[in-house]
Amino acid sequence: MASVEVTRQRDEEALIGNPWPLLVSGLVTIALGALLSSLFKDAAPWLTVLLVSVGAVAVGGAVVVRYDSALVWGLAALGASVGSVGFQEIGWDSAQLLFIVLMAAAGVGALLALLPTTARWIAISALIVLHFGGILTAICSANGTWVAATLWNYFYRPHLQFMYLNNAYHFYSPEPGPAVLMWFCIYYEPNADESKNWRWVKVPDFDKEGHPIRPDGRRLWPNTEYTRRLSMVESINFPEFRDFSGITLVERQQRRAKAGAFRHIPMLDDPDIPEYRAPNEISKIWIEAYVRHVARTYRHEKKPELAVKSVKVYRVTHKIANAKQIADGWDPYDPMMYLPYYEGEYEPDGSPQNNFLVEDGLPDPFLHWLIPILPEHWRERAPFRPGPPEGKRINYVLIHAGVKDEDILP
Amino acid sequence: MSGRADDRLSASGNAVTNVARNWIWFWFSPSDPTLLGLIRLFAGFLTFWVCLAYTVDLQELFGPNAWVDLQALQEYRTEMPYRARSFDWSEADRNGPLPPQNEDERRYIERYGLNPREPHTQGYLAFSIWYHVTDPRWMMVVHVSILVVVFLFMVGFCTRITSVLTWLGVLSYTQRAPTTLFGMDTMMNLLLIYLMIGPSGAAFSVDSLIVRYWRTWRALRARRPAPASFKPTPRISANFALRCMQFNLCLIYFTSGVSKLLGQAWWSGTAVWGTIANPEFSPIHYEWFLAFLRFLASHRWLWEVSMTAGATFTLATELGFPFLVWLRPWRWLMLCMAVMLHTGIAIFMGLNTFSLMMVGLLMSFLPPETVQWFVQLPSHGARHLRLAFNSRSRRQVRAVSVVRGLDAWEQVRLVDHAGRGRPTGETVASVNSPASVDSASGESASHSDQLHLITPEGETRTGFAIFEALVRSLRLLQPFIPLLLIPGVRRIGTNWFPTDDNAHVGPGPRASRSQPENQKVIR
Repeated sequence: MASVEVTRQRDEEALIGNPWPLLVSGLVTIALGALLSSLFKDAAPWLTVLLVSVGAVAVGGAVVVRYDSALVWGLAALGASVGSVGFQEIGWDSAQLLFIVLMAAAGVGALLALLPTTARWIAISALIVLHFGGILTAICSANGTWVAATLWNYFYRPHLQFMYLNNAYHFYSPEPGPAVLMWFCIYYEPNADESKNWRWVKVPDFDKEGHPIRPDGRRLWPNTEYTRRLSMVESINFPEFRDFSGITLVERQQRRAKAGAFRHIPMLDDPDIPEYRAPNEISKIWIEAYVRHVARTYRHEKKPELAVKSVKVYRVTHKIANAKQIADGWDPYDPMMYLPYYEGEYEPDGSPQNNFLVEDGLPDPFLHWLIPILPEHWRERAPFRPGPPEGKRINYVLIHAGVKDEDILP
Repeated sequence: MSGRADDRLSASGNAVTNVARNWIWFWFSPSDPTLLGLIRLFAGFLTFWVCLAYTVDLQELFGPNAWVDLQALQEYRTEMPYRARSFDWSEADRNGPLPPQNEDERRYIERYGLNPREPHTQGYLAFSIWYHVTDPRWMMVVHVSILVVVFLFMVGFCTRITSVLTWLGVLSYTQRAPTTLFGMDTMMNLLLIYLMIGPSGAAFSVDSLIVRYWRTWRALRARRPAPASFKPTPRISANFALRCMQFNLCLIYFTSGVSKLLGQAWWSGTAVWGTIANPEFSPIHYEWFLAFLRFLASHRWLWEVSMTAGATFTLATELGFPFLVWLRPWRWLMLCMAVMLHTGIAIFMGLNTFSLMMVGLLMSFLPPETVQWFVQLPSHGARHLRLAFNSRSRRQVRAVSVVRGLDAWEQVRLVDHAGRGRPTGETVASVNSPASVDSASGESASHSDQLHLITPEGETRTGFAIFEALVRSLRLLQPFIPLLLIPGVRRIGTNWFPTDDNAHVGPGPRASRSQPENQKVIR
């Protein structure tokens, strides 16, 4: 009796006290959208999307008005299930998934509304444990326990991925590392005399004052978008530790040295810097996607009619100058601070090319190897002399790419 | 907010009962949703900014030919393998993928380094409208719609609905461009999820203004007193959402701190250099900053002390916060340390929005009295006015209700003339303080049936002048004062609200005089 009075009082005070018009109209709209999608399939997908979405908002409104009614929640779950069918018919698989999730959420809401207070608290407590347990598995499964990894894989993965709660929160750990950049050398159709047409695209790029810019020279603003570019490049920086190719690292090194001697591209020979670093599978997928993007987006600056023939990709680690270097007067943007790794040459459609420079039937010997930037006469340089080496830097990336320097690369 | 570890009920009974009682107190005690509203306003603004920033990059990040194009995304969504750890020790014997049995398997191994029979599952479960909407014009329509929704969420309009839609909109961007994400997106997502759970529209929102308007209108229409107060009702869901934020934030700091302990640079104290001297993040491209770093590096003892202090401060904050912030004497110190940490991250690493999102999460620890102090800040020095109306006039009741709706800091007292002759039981003086009754007295008889506003100086205003005075006086409307300066606005307003005396009509009678015997005073 008391609850009836409370409801009545609430109805009087609320702007919308009666959920049923909203609920019924929402359900009818969703049903209409689903029916349209079944009858006409691809003829009017937008109508289905519009009707189901509007209907869902109306049903959501009804739930807000009467959130303590299991019936309203139950009918909302029904509406979500009908909506998921509508999206299935028009091939919007992710929206279908969303409505299945909404259906499950509304189902849980209905159950919670049915329960007495104590039981409801117990159920919500279980949900709290489940929720934060899931986040804990995301934290621990990266390099962690078998239990966390197994729970993540078999139980939590769908929830965490759907909700985007999969972050392990390992910010700047174990150590803050250097940022990574991408350099693309886009090759267009050659001239009649077989000379090359090319263009460099750097992500991110900077103007003379050090402000981030887009490849077309416009300022990259606001700063969030710049950070997004850095994250984007970081996504190709995940190394692959397994190697099932049957080629040992020593063999790779010999091939690299041989090809380097042939093309006058030395190795760095710095024991602190790994010169070979292959990306993992997911990084390769992203590299191919990025290649497709640059091939489609960036025309030759002077001859935009030229078609793209191939794209060479360099993943560039920008070393952080240590305190001694800064004290010694090194420029943090000294070309030698850049460590470019060659990640292959690709067709405009993103498929990798294999350039058999050394005729041994194996892929490009420079693939995943560092192509250094060194000072002129670097071998003759006296050791342990403080300060940055004097003289011109030779960017061997330009030699590797087979193009001239246009002051675009460091 | 009930976030006071030292306030909880004294323990009694056995340990299990105490744990259960404390658990219930922690998660299920009601708390004031004002703080949640404040966080919504803050996070909503940041979310709006982040989404607005997408406008320039809509095609580059989410279009069919984006950096991650639909082809790559489809592969990621449907084929990406997830290999679970085995339930026996067989994975230790495995050296390479299982041998392929057909061409498809060979291709799969070449692609993913795994036999397709090996992964536990494939694909990524996610929702994004950008998987399906790929036409540039429609993309812009959807993007603008999302911006509108986020704006409505920010201002708190239909917050229960727009909070869910905002989260879905943000999720759409997030899941479409998985390689462009960073910590800011994680924090934004957490904030939106928890704001969606709690009644984040109960304060600092258009919803709360509408409630003020609606309840005033309903009461006045029914010849009942307007509600004396519109303070949001404490709710369990508000506490629940704040607790989720608090707990999640502690988890973030603890994990971040503990994982740093694995790094040699954090032990040697040089890790901070890796952030402030990183050429892509830090302001090192400015001469002054580089000069500062050179000065620091040229004095090793200073450099070592600074770096060690920075690393120690970071670790102390991240490892200390999850434990000490719950203790009231330590709370402010931990909050200040955390804000300093994020200020440093914003300045030296350029991660402004990330830092602000973290501040949004940190706000969940603000004590209730601080929130109340903050809420009441605009009321200091505010002008107090009286609005006289006739509750028999439907139009005046509506106008008064609108004013009441916009009067978030209760600067306007309502005076109803229509009570003369009405039975005493219907008067509302009983709900008001005697001071209110006194101060409501007095307006010239010539205005008694007309809507008019009495300023603190005793001036009476009618017609458009009421609007002008309200805009100049009500804290919520003061940002719109410049609108009054636009040429022609006054003339248009005067035409819309014609009266005999749009300008002020001179000083009204003193408050202590000519108070009609049964005049109504409505707060």
